[in-house]
Amino acid sequence: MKQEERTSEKAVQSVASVETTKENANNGSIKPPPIPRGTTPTLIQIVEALLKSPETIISRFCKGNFGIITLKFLAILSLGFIAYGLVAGSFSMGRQLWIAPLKIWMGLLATAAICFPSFYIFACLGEAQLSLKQAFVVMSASLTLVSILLIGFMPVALVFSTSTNSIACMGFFHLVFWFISIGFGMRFLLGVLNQCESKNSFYIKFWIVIFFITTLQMMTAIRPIIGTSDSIFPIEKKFFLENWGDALKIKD
Amino acid sequence: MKLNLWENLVELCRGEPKVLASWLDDDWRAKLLLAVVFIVFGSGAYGMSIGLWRAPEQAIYVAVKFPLLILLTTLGNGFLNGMTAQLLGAKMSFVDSFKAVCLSFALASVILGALSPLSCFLVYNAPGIYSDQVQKAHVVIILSDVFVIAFAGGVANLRLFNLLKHLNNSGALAARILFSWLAGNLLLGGQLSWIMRPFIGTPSAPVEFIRNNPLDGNFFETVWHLCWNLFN
Repeated sequence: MKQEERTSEKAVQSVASVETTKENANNGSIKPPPIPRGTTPTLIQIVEALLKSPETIISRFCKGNFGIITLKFLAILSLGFIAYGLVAGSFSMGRQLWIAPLKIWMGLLATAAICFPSFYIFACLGEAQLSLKQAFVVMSASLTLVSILLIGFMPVALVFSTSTNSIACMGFFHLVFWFISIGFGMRFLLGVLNQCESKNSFYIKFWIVIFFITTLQMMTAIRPIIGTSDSIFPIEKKFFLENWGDALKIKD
Repeated sequence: MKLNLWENLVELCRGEPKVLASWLDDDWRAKLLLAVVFIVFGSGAYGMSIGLWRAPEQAIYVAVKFPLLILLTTLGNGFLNGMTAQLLGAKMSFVDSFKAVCLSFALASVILGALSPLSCFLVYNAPGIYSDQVQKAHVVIILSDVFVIAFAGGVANLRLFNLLKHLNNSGALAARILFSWLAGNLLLGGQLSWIMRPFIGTPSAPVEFIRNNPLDGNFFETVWHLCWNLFN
Protein backbone atom coordinates (compact mmCIF):
# COMPACT_ATOMS: atom_id res chain seq x y z
CA MET A 1 0.00 0.00 0.00
CA LYS A 2 3.05 2.26 0.14
CA GLN A 3 2.81 2.77 -3.59
CA GLU A 4 -0.84 3.71 -3.21
CA GLU A 5 0.02 6.28 -0.56
CA ARG A 6 2.80 7.66 -2.75
CA THR A 7 0.50 7.99 -5.76
CA SER A 8 -2.18 9.59 -3.54
CA GLU A 9 0.28 12.19 -2.34
CA LYS A 10 1.52 12.84 -5.88
CA ALA A 11 -2.00 13.21 -7.22
CA VAL A 12 -2.99 15.53 -4.39
CA GLN A 13 0.10 17.67 -4.97
CA SER A 14 -0.47 17.86 -8.73
CA VAL A 15 -4.16 18.61 -8.42
CA ALA A 16 -3.53 21.16 -5.67
CA SER A 17 -0.91 22.97 -7.76
CA VAL A 18 -3.29 23.22 -10.74
CA GLU A 19 -6.00 24.36 -8.38
CA THR A 20 -3.85 27.18 -6.99
CA THR A 21 -2.86 28.28 -10.49
CA LYS A 22 -6.46 28.29 -11.60
CA GLU A 23 -7.58 30.16 -8.52
CA ASN A 24 -4.99 32.82 -9.22
CA ALA A 25 -5.76 32.99 -12.93
CA ASN A 26 -9.56 33.13 -12.61
CA ASN A 27 -9.94 35.79 -9.98
CA GLY A 28 -12.70 37.47 -11.91
CA SER A 29 -14.77 34.36 -12.68
CA ILE A 30 -17.74 33.13 -10.68
CA LYS A 31 -16.62 30.46 -8.25
CA PRO A 32 -18.48 28.44 -5.67
CA PRO A 33 -17.99 29.43 -2.04
CA PRO A 34 -14.76 27.83 -0.84
CA ILE A 35 -15.05 24.58 1.04
CA PRO A 36 -13.04 25.00 4.23
CA ARG A 37 -10.14 22.58 4.35
CA GLY A 38 -10.45 19.79 6.87
CA THR A 39 -14.25 19.98 6.97
CA THR A 40 -16.64 17.71 5.15
CA PRO A 41 -18.58 19.56 2.43
CA THR A 42 -22.35 19.59 2.51
CA LEU A 43 -24.44 18.13 -0.31
CA ILE A 44 -25.13 21.59 -1.74
CA GLN A 45 -21.44 22.48 -1.64
CA ILE A 46 -20.61 19.27 -3.50
CA VAL A 47 -23.22 20.00 -6.19
CA GLU A 48 -22.00 23.57 -6.64
CA ALA A 49 -18.37 22.56 -6.75
CA LEU A 50 -19.05 19.80 -9.30
CA LEU A 51 -20.90 22.21 -11.58
CA LYS A 52 -18.78 25.33 -11.25
CA SER A 53 -15.32 24.15 -10.47
CA PRO A 54 -15.09 20.39 -10.92
CA GLU A 55 -11.34 20.36 -11.42
CA THR A 56 -10.67 21.68 -7.93
CA ILE A 57 -12.96 19.38 -6.05
CA ILE A 58 -10.93 16.20 -6.06
CA SER A 59 -7.92 17.74 -4.34
CA ARG A 60 -10.14 18.74 -1.42
CA PHE A 61 -11.66 15.31 -1.31
CA CYS A 62 -8.31 13.62 -1.38
CA LYS A 63 -7.49 15.31 1.90
CA GLY A 64 -10.89 14.77 3.47
CA ASN A 65 -12.74 11.76 4.67
CA PHE A 66 -13.11 9.35 1.75
CA GLY A 67 -15.91 7.36 3.31
CA ILE A 68 -18.24 10.26 4.11
CA ILE A 69 -17.57 12.07 0.85
CA THR A 70 -18.11 8.97 -1.25
CA LEU A 71 -21.34 8.29 0.64
CA LYS A 72 -22.47 11.82 -0.14
CA PHE A 73 -21.66 11.31 -3.81
CA LEU A 74 -23.62 8.08 -3.78
CA ALA A 75 -26.54 9.83 -2.05
CA ILE A 76 -26.66 12.60 -4.67
CA LEU A 77 -26.31 10.25 -7.63
CA SER A 78 -28.93 7.89 -6.22
CA LEU A 79 -31.31 10.80 -5.74
CA GLY A 80 -30.66 12.01 -9.29
CA PHE A 81 -31.08 8.62 -10.96
CA ILE A 82 -34.22 7.78 -8.95
CA ALA A 83 -35.77 11.18 -9.68
CA TYR A 84 -35.03 10.87 -13.40
CA GLY A 85 -36.35 7.31 -13.33
CA LEU A 86 -39.61 8.63 -11.95
CA VAL A 87 -39.91 10.92 -14.97
CA ALA A 88 -39.05 8.04 -17.33
CA GLY A 89 -41.70 5.91 -15.65
CA SER A 90 -44.29 8.67 -15.95
CA PHE A 91 -44.63 7.83 -19.67
CA SER A 92 -46.50 4.61 -18.89
CA MET A 93 -47.56 5.48 -15.31
CA GLY A 94 -48.93 2.64 -13.15
CA ARG A 95 -46.32 0.33 -11.70
CA GLN A 96 -43.63 1.77 -13.99
CA LEU A 97 -43.57 4.72 -11.59
CA TRP A 98 -41.68 2.63 -9.07
CA ILE A 99 -40.11 0.04 -11.38
CA ALA A 100 -38.39 2.54 -13.72
CA PRO A 101 -36.56 4.51 -10.95
CA LEU A 102 -35.45 1.29 -9.29
CA LYS A 103 -34.22 -0.17 -12.59
CA ILE A 104 -32.34 2.97 -13.63
CA TRP A 105 -30.70 3.31 -10.22
CA MET A 106 -29.69 -0.34 -9.93
CA GLY A 107 -28.74 -0.62 -13.59
CA LEU A 108 -26.38 2.34 -13.53
CA LEU A 109 -24.75 1.25 -10.27
CA ALA A 110 -24.27 -2.24 -11.72
CA THR A 111 -22.75 -0.73 -14.89
CA ALA A 112 -20.36 1.34 -12.78
CA ALA A 113 -19.40 -1.75 -10.81
CA ILE A 114 -18.62 -3.91 -13.84
CA CYS A 115 -16.75 -1.08 -15.58
CA PHE A 116 -14.69 -0.02 -12.55
CA PRO A 117 -11.88 -2.64 -12.87
CA SER A 118 -11.26 -1.65 -16.50
CA PHE A 119 -11.49 2.05 -15.57
CA TYR A 120 -8.67 1.70 -13.06
CA ILE A 121 -6.49 -0.43 -15.34
CA PHE A 122 -7.05 1.91 -18.31
CA ALA A 123 -6.22 4.93 -16.11
CA CYS A 124 -2.97 3.18 -15.16
CA LEU A 125 -2.27 2.38 -18.84
CA GLY A 126 -2.55 6.13 -19.45
CA GLU A 127 0.06 6.55 -16.68
CA ALA A 128 -2.27 8.50 -14.37
CA GLN A 129 -1.02 8.83 -10.80
CA LEU A 130 -4.20 7.62 -9.21
CA SER A 131 -4.78 5.27 -6.30
CA LEU A 132 -7.64 2.79 -6.27
CA LYS A 133 -9.51 4.85 -3.66
CA GLN A 134 -9.09 8.01 -5.70
CA ALA A 135 -10.25 6.21 -8.82
CA PHE A 136 -13.40 5.22 -6.94
CA VAL A 137 -14.02 8.81 -5.80
CA VAL A 138 -13.37 10.17 -9.30
CA MET A 139 -15.79 7.72 -10.88
CA SER A 140 -18.43 8.43 -8.21
CA ALA A 141 -17.96 12.17 -8.71
CA SER A 142 -18.35 11.92 -12.49
CA LEU A 143 -21.52 9.85 -12.12
CA THR A 144 -22.79 12.36 -9.57
CA LEU A 145 -22.28 15.10 -12.14
CA VAL A 146 -24.20 12.99 -14.68
CA SER A 147 -27.08 12.59 -12.21
CA ILE A 148 -27.14 16.33 -11.45
CA LEU A 149 -27.43 17.08 -15.17
CA LEU A 150 -30.20 14.50 -15.50
CA ILE A 151 -32.08 16.34 -12.73
CA GLY A 152 -31.70 19.47 -14.85
CA PHE A 153 -33.25 17.67 -17.83
CA MET A 154 -36.16 16.35 -15.74
CA PRO A 155 -38.69 19.13 -16.52
CA VAL A 156 -38.02 18.87 -20.27
CA ALA A 157 -38.28 15.07 -20.15
CA LEU A 158 -41.50 15.35 -18.16
CA VAL A 159 -43.05 17.68 -20.75
CA PHE A 160 -42.20 15.27 -23.57
CA SER A 161 -43.24 12.27 -21.48
CA THR A 162 -46.72 13.64 -20.95
CA SER A 163 -47.22 14.95 -24.47
CA THR A 164 -46.00 12.11 -26.71
CA ASN A 165 -47.41 8.63 -27.25
CA SER A 166 -44.50 7.14 -29.15
CA ILE A 167 -42.11 4.93 -27.15
CA ALA A 168 -39.44 5.24 -29.88
CA CYS A 169 -39.66 9.04 -29.83
CA MET A 170 -39.51 9.20 -26.04
CA GLY A 171 -36.64 6.75 -26.03
CA PHE A 172 -34.79 8.98 -28.47
CA PHE A 173 -35.21 12.02 -26.19
CA HIS A 174 -33.98 10.08 -23.15
CA LEU A 175 -31.02 8.94 -25.21
CA VAL A 176 -30.17 12.54 -26.14
CA PHE A 177 -30.41 13.67 -22.49
CA TRP A 178 -28.30 10.71 -21.41
CA PHE A 179 -25.72 11.42 -24.12
CA ILE A 180 -25.36 15.08 -23.08
CA SER A 181 -25.19 14.27 -19.35
CA ILE A 182 -22.65 11.53 -19.78
CA GLY A 183 -20.63 13.79 -22.08
CA PHE A 184 -20.20 16.35 -19.30
CA GLY A 185 -19.58 13.63 -16.71
CA MET A 186 -16.85 12.11 -18.81
CA ARG A 187 -15.33 15.49 -19.60
CA PHE A 188 -14.95 15.94 -15.86
CA LEU A 189 -13.36 12.50 -15.63
CA LEU A 190 -10.85 13.35 -18.36
CA GLY A 191 -10.06 16.67 -16.67
CA VAL A 192 -9.31 15.01 -13.35
CA LEU A 193 -7.13 12.37 -15.00
CA ASN A 194 -5.19 15.07 -16.83
CA GLN A 195 -4.49 16.66 -13.47
CA CYS A 196 -3.35 13.29 -12.18
CA GLU A 197 -0.50 13.44 -14.71
CA SER A 198 -2.15 11.11 -17.24
CA LYS A 199 0.17 11.12 -20.26
CA ASN A 200 -2.06 9.30 -22.72
CA SER A 201 -5.80 9.93 -22.78
CA PHE A 202 -6.46 7.37 -25.54
CA TYR A 203 -7.08 4.52 -23.10
CA ILE A 204 -9.57 6.41 -20.96
CA LYS A 205 -11.37 7.75 -24.04
CA PHE A 206 -11.66 4.18 -25.26
CA TRP A 207 -12.99 3.20 -21.83
CA ILE A 208 -15.58 6.00 -22.02
CA VAL A 209 -16.90 4.50 -25.28
CA ILE A 210 -17.10 1.07 -23.60
CA PHE A 211 -18.86 2.58 -20.58
CA PHE A 212 -21.39 4.39 -22.75
CA ILE A 213 -22.19 1.25 -24.76
CA THR A 214 -22.47 -0.77 -21.53
CA THR A 215 -25.01 1.68 -20.10
CA LEU A 216 -27.09 1.34 -23.28
CA GLN A 217 -26.90 -2.45 -23.12
CA MET A 218 -27.71 -2.43 -19.40
CA MET A 219 -30.89 -0.46 -20.04
CA THR A 220 -31.81 -3.03 -22.71
CA ALA A 221 -31.07 -5.90 -20.33
CA ILE A 222 -33.43 -4.51 -17.67
CA ARG A 223 -36.14 -3.27 -20.08
CA PRO A 224 -38.88 -2.16 -20.16
CA ILE A 225 -38.19 1.21 -18.55
CA ILE A 226 -40.37 3.56 -20.59
CA GLY A 227 -42.95 1.05 -21.83
CA THR A 228 -44.72 -1.77 -20.03
CA SER A 229 -44.54 -5.53 -19.98
CA ASP A 230 -46.18 -8.46 -18.17
CA SER A 231 -42.91 -9.43 -16.54
CA ILE A 232 -40.63 -7.00 -14.67
CA PHE A 233 -37.50 -8.25 -16.47
CA PRO A 234 -37.31 -9.37 -20.13
CA ILE A 235 -37.48 -13.05 -21.04
CA GLU A 236 -35.87 -12.60 -24.45
CA LYS A 237 -32.24 -11.49 -24.60
CA LYS A 238 -31.39 -8.77 -27.10
CA PHE A 239 -28.57 -6.44 -27.99
CA PHE A 240 -29.46 -2.77 -27.69
CA LEU A 241 -29.37 -2.00 -31.44
CA GLU A 242 -31.76 -4.87 -32.10
CA ASN A 243 -34.06 -3.59 -29.35
CA TRP A 244 -34.05 -0.09 -30.86
CA GLY A 245 -34.88 -1.59 -34.27
CA ASP A 246 -37.83 -3.46 -32.75
CA ALA A 247 -39.01 -0.29 -30.97
CA LEU A 248 -39.01 1.56 -34.31
CA LYS A 249 -41.04 -1.25 -35.92
CA ILE A 250 -43.65 -0.96 -33.15
CA LYS A 251 -43.97 2.69 -34.03
CA ASP A 252 -44.51 1.91 -37.72
CA MET B 1 11.66 -12.08 -1.56
CA LYS B 2 8.88 -9.63 -0.80
CA LEU B 3 6.13 -9.21 -3.35
CA ASN B 4 3.55 -6.47 -3.43
CA LEU B 5 1.02 -7.65 -5.98
CA TRP B 6 -0.90 -4.39 -6.22
CA GLU B 7 2.13 -2.12 -6.46
CA ASN B 8 3.62 -4.32 -9.19
CA LEU B 9 0.33 -4.51 -11.07
CA VAL B 10 0.18 -0.71 -11.20
CA GLU B 11 3.84 -0.51 -12.30
CA LEU B 12 3.21 -3.05 -15.04
CA CYS B 13 0.18 -1.15 -16.31
CA ARG B 14 1.95 2.21 -16.32
CA GLY B 15 4.65 0.47 -18.32
CA GLU B 16 7.43 3.02 -17.97
CA PRO B 17 10.33 1.43 -19.87
CA LYS B 18 12.87 2.31 -17.15
CA VAL B 19 10.75 0.66 -14.48
CA LEU B 20 10.05 -2.40 -16.60
CA ALA B 21 13.75 -2.66 -17.47
CA SER B 22 14.49 -2.84 -13.74
CA TRP B 23 12.10 -5.80 -13.59
CA LEU B 24 14.56 -7.69 -15.77
CA ASP B 25 17.43 -7.03 -13.36
CA ASP B 26 16.28 -6.62 -9.77
CA ASP B 27 14.97 -9.71 -8.12
CA TRP B 28 13.82 -11.02 -11.51
CA ARG B 29 12.73 -14.44 -10.21
CA ALA B 30 10.13 -12.77 -8.01
CA LYS B 31 8.97 -10.58 -10.89
CA LEU B 32 8.73 -13.60 -13.18
CA LEU B 33 6.60 -15.34 -10.58
CA LEU B 34 4.39 -12.26 -10.45
CA ALA B 35 4.05 -12.26 -14.23
CA VAL B 36 2.92 -15.90 -14.08
CA VAL B 37 0.40 -15.03 -11.34
CA PHE B 38 -1.00 -12.20 -13.49
CA ILE B 39 -1.22 -14.50 -16.51
CA VAL B 40 -2.98 -17.25 -14.55
CA PHE B 41 -5.54 -14.99 -12.86
CA GLY B 42 -6.03 -12.37 -15.60
CA SER B 43 -6.38 -14.63 -18.60
CA GLY B 44 -8.08 -17.27 -16.42
CA ALA B 45 -10.83 -14.80 -15.49
CA TYR B 46 -11.29 -13.77 -19.10
CA GLY B 47 -11.27 -17.41 -20.24
CA MET B 48 -13.98 -18.19 -17.71
CA SER B 49 -16.13 -15.35 -19.01
CA ILE B 50 -15.96 -16.53 -22.64
CA GLY B 51 -16.63 -20.17 -21.80
CA LEU B 52 -19.68 -19.21 -19.74
CA TRP B 53 -21.83 -18.75 -22.84
CA ARG B 54 -21.65 -22.46 -23.80
CA ALA B 55 -21.91 -24.02 -20.32
CA PRO B 56 -20.55 -23.59 -16.76
CA GLU B 57 -18.22 -26.60 -17.28
CA GLN B 58 -16.86 -24.94 -20.41
CA ALA B 59 -16.14 -21.81 -18.32
CA ILE B 60 -13.99 -23.87 -15.94
CA TYR B 61 -12.21 -25.63 -18.81
CA VAL B 62 -11.37 -22.36 -20.57
CA ALA B 63 -10.29 -20.75 -17.28
CA VAL B 64 -7.63 -23.48 -17.16
CA LYS B 65 -6.82 -23.67 -20.88
CA PHE B 66 -6.41 -19.97 -21.64
CA PRO B 67 -3.54 -19.33 -19.17
CA LEU B 68 -2.06 -22.69 -20.16
CA LEU B 69 -2.07 -21.64 -23.83
CA ILE B 70 -0.21 -18.42 -22.99
CA LEU B 71 2.32 -20.12 -20.72
CA LEU B 72 3.00 -22.93 -23.21
CA THR B 73 3.45 -20.43 -26.06
CA THR B 74 5.91 -18.41 -23.94
CA LEU B 75 7.83 -21.49 -22.86
CA GLY B 76 7.78 -23.15 -26.28
CA ASN B 77 9.10 -20.07 -28.01
CA GLY B 78 11.52 -19.05 -25.25
CA PHE B 79 14.57 -20.44 -27.03
CA LEU B 80 13.50 -19.25 -30.49
CA ASN B 81 12.72 -15.73 -29.21
CA GLY B 82 16.06 -15.46 -27.40
CA MET B 83 17.91 -16.72 -30.47
CA THR B 84 16.23 -14.36 -32.95
CA ALA B 85 16.80 -11.41 -30.61
CA GLN B 86 20.51 -12.15 -30.50
CA LEU B 87 20.72 -12.84 -34.24
CA LEU B 88 19.13 -9.45 -34.89
CA GLY B 89 21.74 -7.77 -32.69
CA ALA B 90 19.83 -7.19 -29.46
CA LYS B 91 21.75 -6.43 -26.28
CA MET B 92 19.72 -9.00 -24.42
CA SER B 93 20.37 -12.47 -23.06
CA PHE B 94 18.09 -15.48 -23.61
CA VAL B 95 16.67 -15.04 -20.12
CA ASP B 96 16.02 -11.32 -20.69
CA SER B 97 14.09 -12.12 -23.88
CA PHE B 98 12.02 -14.71 -22.05
CA LYS B 99 11.27 -12.30 -19.20
CA ALA B 100 10.33 -9.49 -21.60
CA VAL B 101 7.86 -11.74 -23.45
CA CYS B 102 6.44 -12.89 -20.09
CA LEU B 103 5.91 -9.26 -19.02
CA SER B 104 4.11 -8.54 -22.27
CA PHE B 105 1.78 -11.52 -21.84
CA ALA B 106 1.25 -10.56 -18.18
CA LEU B 107 0.11 -7.06 -19.18
CA ALA B 108 -2.23 -8.47 -21.84
CA SER B 109 -3.64 -10.83 -19.20
CA VAL B 110 -4.18 -7.99 -16.71
CA ILE B 111 -6.12 -6.03 -19.36
CA LEU B 112 -8.15 -9.13 -20.23
CA GLY B 113 -8.83 -9.73 -16.54
CA ALA B 114 -10.04 -6.14 -16.10
CA LEU B 115 -12.38 -6.57 -19.07
CA SER B 116 -13.73 -9.93 -17.89
CA PRO B 117 -16.75 -8.44 -15.98
CA LEU B 118 -17.73 -6.71 -19.23
CA SER B 119 -17.23 -9.94 -21.15
CA CYS B 120 -19.51 -11.73 -18.63
CA PHE B 121 -22.10 -9.02 -19.17
CA LEU B 122 -21.91 -9.50 -22.93
CA VAL B 123 -22.37 -13.26 -22.54
CA TYR B 124 -25.31 -12.65 -20.19
CA ASN B 125 -26.95 -10.49 -22.85
CA ALA B 126 -26.30 -12.83 -25.76
CA PRO B 127 -29.11 -15.19 -26.80
CA GLY B 128 -28.52 -18.62 -25.26
CA ILE B 129 -27.46 -21.79 -27.07
CA TYR B 130 -31.07 -23.06 -27.27
CA SER B 131 -32.31 -19.82 -28.81
CA ASP B 132 -33.25 -19.37 -32.50
CA GLN B 133 -30.55 -16.73 -32.72
CA VAL B 134 -27.75 -18.96 -31.49
CA GLN B 135 -25.63 -18.53 -34.64
CA LYS B 136 -25.81 -14.75 -34.42
CA ALA B 137 -24.89 -14.83 -30.73
CA HIS B 138 -21.95 -17.14 -31.49
CA VAL B 139 -20.63 -14.76 -34.15
CA VAL B 140 -21.05 -11.71 -31.87
CA ILE B 141 -19.14 -13.46 -29.07
CA ILE B 142 -16.35 -14.58 -31.41
CA LEU B 143 -15.98 -11.10 -32.92
CA SER B 144 -16.01 -9.35 -29.54
CA ASP B 145 -13.39 -11.78 -28.20
CA VAL B 146 -11.20 -11.23 -31.26
CA PHE B 147 -11.51 -7.48 -30.75
CA VAL B 148 -10.78 -7.58 -26.99
CA ILE B 149 -7.84 -9.97 -27.35
CA ALA B 150 -6.45 -7.91 -30.24
CA PHE B 151 -6.74 -4.75 -28.13
CA ALA B 152 -5.05 -6.31 -25.09
CA GLY B 153 -2.34 -7.84 -27.29
CA GLY B 154 -1.84 -4.58 -29.16
CA VAL B 155 -1.36 -2.56 -25.96
CA ALA B 156 0.97 -5.20 -24.50
CA ASN B 157 3.08 -5.30 -27.66
CA LEU B 158 3.27 -1.53 -27.78
CA ARG B 159 4.68 -1.57 -24.26
CA LEU B 160 7.03 -4.40 -25.23
CA PHE B 161 8.21 -2.32 -28.17
CA ASN B 162 8.95 0.62 -25.83
CA LEU B 163 10.85 -1.68 -23.48
CA LEU B 164 12.89 -3.18 -26.34
CA LYS B 165 13.61 0.30 -27.66
CA HIS B 166 14.80 1.39 -24.22
CA LEU B 167 16.98 -1.70 -23.79
CA ASN B 168 18.54 -1.56 -27.27
CA ASN B 169 18.59 2.20 -27.87
CA SER B 170 17.13 1.66 -31.33
CA GLY B 171 13.54 1.84 -32.55
CA ALA B 172 14.30 -0.02 -35.81
CA LEU B 173 15.99 -2.89 -33.99
CA ALA B 174 13.15 -3.05 -31.44
CA ALA B 175 10.62 -3.25 -34.30
CA ARG B 176 12.56 -6.08 -35.99
CA ILE B 177 12.83 -8.07 -32.76
CA LEU B 178 9.17 -7.53 -31.92
CA PHE B 179 8.09 -8.59 -35.41
CA SER B 180 10.14 -11.79 -35.24
CA TRP B 181 8.72 -12.60 -31.79
CA LEU B 182 5.18 -11.93 -32.94
CA ALA B 183 5.64 -14.19 -35.97
CA GLY B 184 6.98 -17.01 -33.79
CA ASN B 185 4.24 -16.60 -31.18
CA LEU B 186 1.55 -16.54 -33.86
CA LEU B 187 2.89 -19.72 -35.40
CA LEU B 188 3.08 -21.71 -32.16
CA GLY B 189 0.18 -19.97 -30.35
CA GLY B 190 -2.15 -20.45 -33.34
CA GLN B 191 -1.47 -24.18 -33.54
CA LEU B 192 -1.63 -24.67 -29.75
CA SER B 193 -5.00 -22.91 -29.67
CA TRP B 194 -6.17 -25.28 -32.42
CA ILE B 195 -5.05 -28.32 -30.42
CA MET B 196 -6.61 -27.00 -27.20
CA ARG B 197 -9.94 -26.14 -28.82
CA PRO B 198 -12.82 -25.56 -27.98
CA PHE B 199 -12.65 -22.18 -26.22
CA ILE B 200 -15.99 -20.50 -26.80
CA GLY B 201 -17.55 -23.81 -27.78
CA THR B 202 -19.53 -24.62 -30.92
CA PRO B 203 -23.22 -24.75 -29.87
CA SER B 204 -23.85 -28.06 -31.68
CA ALA B 205 -20.73 -29.79 -30.33
CA PRO B 206 -20.51 -31.35 -26.86
CA VAL B 207 -18.83 -29.61 -23.93
CA GLU B 208 -15.36 -31.08 -23.50
CA PHE B 209 -11.91 -30.10 -22.30
CA ILE B 210 -10.33 -30.85 -25.68
CA ARG B 211 -11.86 -32.42 -28.77
CA ASN B 212 -11.55 -36.16 -29.37
CA ASN B 213 -9.34 -35.46 -32.37
CA PRO B 214 -7.13 -32.59 -31.12
CA LEU B 215 -4.27 -33.26 -33.52
CA ASP B 216 -6.39 -33.49 -36.68
CA GLY B 217 -5.69 -30.61 -39.03
CA ASN B 218 -4.01 -27.36 -38.14
CA PHE B 219 -4.90 -23.78 -37.45
CA PHE B 220 -3.48 -22.29 -40.63
CA GLU B 221 -4.99 -24.97 -42.90
CA THR B 222 -8.41 -24.21 -41.40
CA VAL B 223 -7.96 -20.47 -41.89
CA TRP B 224 -6.89 -21.14 -45.49
CA HIS B 225 -9.97 -23.32 -46.16
CA LEU B 226 -12.26 -20.72 -44.60
CA CYS B 227 -10.80 -17.99 -46.84
CA TRP B 228 -11.00 -20.27 -49.88
CA ASN B 229 -14.66 -21.08 -49.22
CA LEU B 230 -15.43 -17.42 -48.67
CA PHE B 231 -14.09 -16.32 -52.06
CA ASN B 232 -15.16 -19.35 -54.18
